[in-house]
Amino acid sequence: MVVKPPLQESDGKPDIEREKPVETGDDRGFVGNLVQLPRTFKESVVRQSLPDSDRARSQAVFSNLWLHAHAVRTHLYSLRPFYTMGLGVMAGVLVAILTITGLLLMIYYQPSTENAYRSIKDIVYVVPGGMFLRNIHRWAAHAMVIVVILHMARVAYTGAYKKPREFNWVIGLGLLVLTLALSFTGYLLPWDQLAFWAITVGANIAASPREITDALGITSQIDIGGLQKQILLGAEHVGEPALVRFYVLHCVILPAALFALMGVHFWRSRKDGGLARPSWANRIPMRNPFAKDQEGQRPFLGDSTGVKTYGLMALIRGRTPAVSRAPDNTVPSWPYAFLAEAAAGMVITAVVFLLSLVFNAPLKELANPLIPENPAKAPWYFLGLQEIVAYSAFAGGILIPTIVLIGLGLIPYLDREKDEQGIWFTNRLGGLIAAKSFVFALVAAAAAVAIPVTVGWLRTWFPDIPQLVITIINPGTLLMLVYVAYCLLVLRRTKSTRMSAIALFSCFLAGFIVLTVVGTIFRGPNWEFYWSSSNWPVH
Amino acid sequence: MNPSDEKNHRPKPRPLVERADAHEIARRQAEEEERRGRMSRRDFVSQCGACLAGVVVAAVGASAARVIKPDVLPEPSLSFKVGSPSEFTSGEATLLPDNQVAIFRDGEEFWSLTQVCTHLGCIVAVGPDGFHCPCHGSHFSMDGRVLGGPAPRPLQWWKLSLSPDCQLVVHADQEVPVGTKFKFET
Repeated sequence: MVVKPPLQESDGKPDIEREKPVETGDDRGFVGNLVQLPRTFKESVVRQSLPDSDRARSQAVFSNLWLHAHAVRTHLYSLRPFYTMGLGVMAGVLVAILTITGLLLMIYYQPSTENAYRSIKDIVYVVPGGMFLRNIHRWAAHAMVIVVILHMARVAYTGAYKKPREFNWVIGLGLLVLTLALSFTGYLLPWDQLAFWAITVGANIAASPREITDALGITSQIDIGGLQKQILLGAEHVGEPALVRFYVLHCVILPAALFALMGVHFWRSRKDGGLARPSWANRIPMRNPFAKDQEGQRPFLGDSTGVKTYGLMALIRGRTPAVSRAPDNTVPSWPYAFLAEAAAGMVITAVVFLLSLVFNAPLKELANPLIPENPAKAPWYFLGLQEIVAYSAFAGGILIPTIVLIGLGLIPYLDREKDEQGIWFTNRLGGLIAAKSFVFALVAAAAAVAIPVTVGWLRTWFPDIPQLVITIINPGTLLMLVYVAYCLLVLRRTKSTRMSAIALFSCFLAGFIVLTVVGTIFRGPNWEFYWSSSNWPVH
Repeated sequence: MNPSDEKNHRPKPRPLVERADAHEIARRQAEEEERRGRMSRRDFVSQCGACLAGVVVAAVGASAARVIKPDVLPEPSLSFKVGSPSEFTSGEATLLPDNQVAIFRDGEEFWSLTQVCTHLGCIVAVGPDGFHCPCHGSHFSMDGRVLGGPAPRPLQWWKLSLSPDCQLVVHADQEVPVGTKFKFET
């Protein structure tokens, strides 16, 4: 190991003239150095040999740029498989898969209305492995939407958003929005029928504040909707400028934002002491599930073994195992946390690869600005949105999503009860409320869909009703109000903001599921309700 | 130059005690100012600087943001000839999918409706009972009034005119009130 000279006061000489310490032992002359090149080069890259003690493992994690996103030691509680189910790691791995496959797809893809569709065809039929590559990109994107939502559910139901992690929850919501925005901009690029009509619908949702400004008669002065649409499309209609804008968004702006927010997300959870865990996890000694002593028993970790093996670098203010005060229920991150993460990453990679082998990513006909498909459906994760957009463009496309996001973002600031963190549903009551509110929300959402399908809505009875009334009073907004009322009721009954937060998240989840299922399965031509697609009219 | 010379010419640092006093005095002055409800000169200058920096950043950001909205939009002409009035059959709707309009004729009266749904911009399809939008189920009557679904307003009626060479011209950028019909000799 090279010993650095101690820092010296400048003695006036330029650095270059200062005497270098004489290194002996490692210099073997030209031929000797040449022979030693593989070893010396390897040692210059990876400065440590494979660590053989916990202290060396800590050192390895600490001094490596890529590994030091981890603490050198990981709490056993964080490694419980059914606590996190590895969902956050999976989301991160999916981002990696999407980045790599995305970069490879970029080699062939051409963002022009003339060539976009052809280049996708090339990727599928001409490029070696291109079809598989595109499938992976597609299914990884779908998996990411699911995994991110499940990860959010885990954090919500285990109360892991509580102090000091409030803002990280908000950043997580930002990541959810970016995930959806990336999905949206992504499926536009093939310039097939889905792409064209999805941009058209999306751009007109951006223009839907006109519903309000029209009703107030101020569109000619303040046309917020029109401005948003123009900025999105670079034109009044979907065409070349729109495709280029979405391409830049999908390949540069949104990924850059995603990486930045991911960095902050990881950094903050690391600085907040890793994953949230209940306070007793730091008080009760835990047995090491990874080791056995001579009698075949699982030994206790930390104090009871009498050996503390971490270096000083493990001691970060306030959030680390308290030396000689409490049991140290941590294990070295190398290898235990890394193995757990690798396992989660491999599971999700395997799932995505299997899906990609079995199912091909769809590609519809070339975009035709004259005829939309009937029904024109977005990918499944937007069909819940499409369902409420079918009540009112502004309410469904902007108002409700904004309120839902604000509502979810406020959860950690309104629920500041000092419950134990890191426990699913906090307690038995929490589990009960999560289940009850989930069922309630399912029924309410089903009713919200059923009423307009069976008996119609305001316009059926009052044909000349002003649009503003429908924008404000429609099944979507009413469903949201019912959910809010239900959560307030839970708050009043239980006197607990935590229980209310659980109810709120259950409502969000159930509402999302019902609307998505209805949009995916039960909507046919002209967005009418059909029990089965086999009942669709032939035309 | 001899390095030792330079060392000798360096001003001697003030004694620590004196520096501490100067700092202490400045601090007391600032406290005194604060007690009187006045901002210290140092705070004032630094806050001015911060504001200035903020204004500059905002101005640069705004000018950069302006780039994304072009002054001229790449649109095809929204006024187009659709043929001689006599080519249209009286009492029927003629759909011109390329131009996304429907032309109606009733004797000498002509009118035209957009085929773009006022909800989210899909193209409506014509049926026996009016126009249906495939995307979100809006339903319009033959004269464009909303009969059902999420459409916020009727299908737009466009201005019609006759070109010098006696062709019917649709002005798909000039909306006219619902029910406005144009008379042309055929």
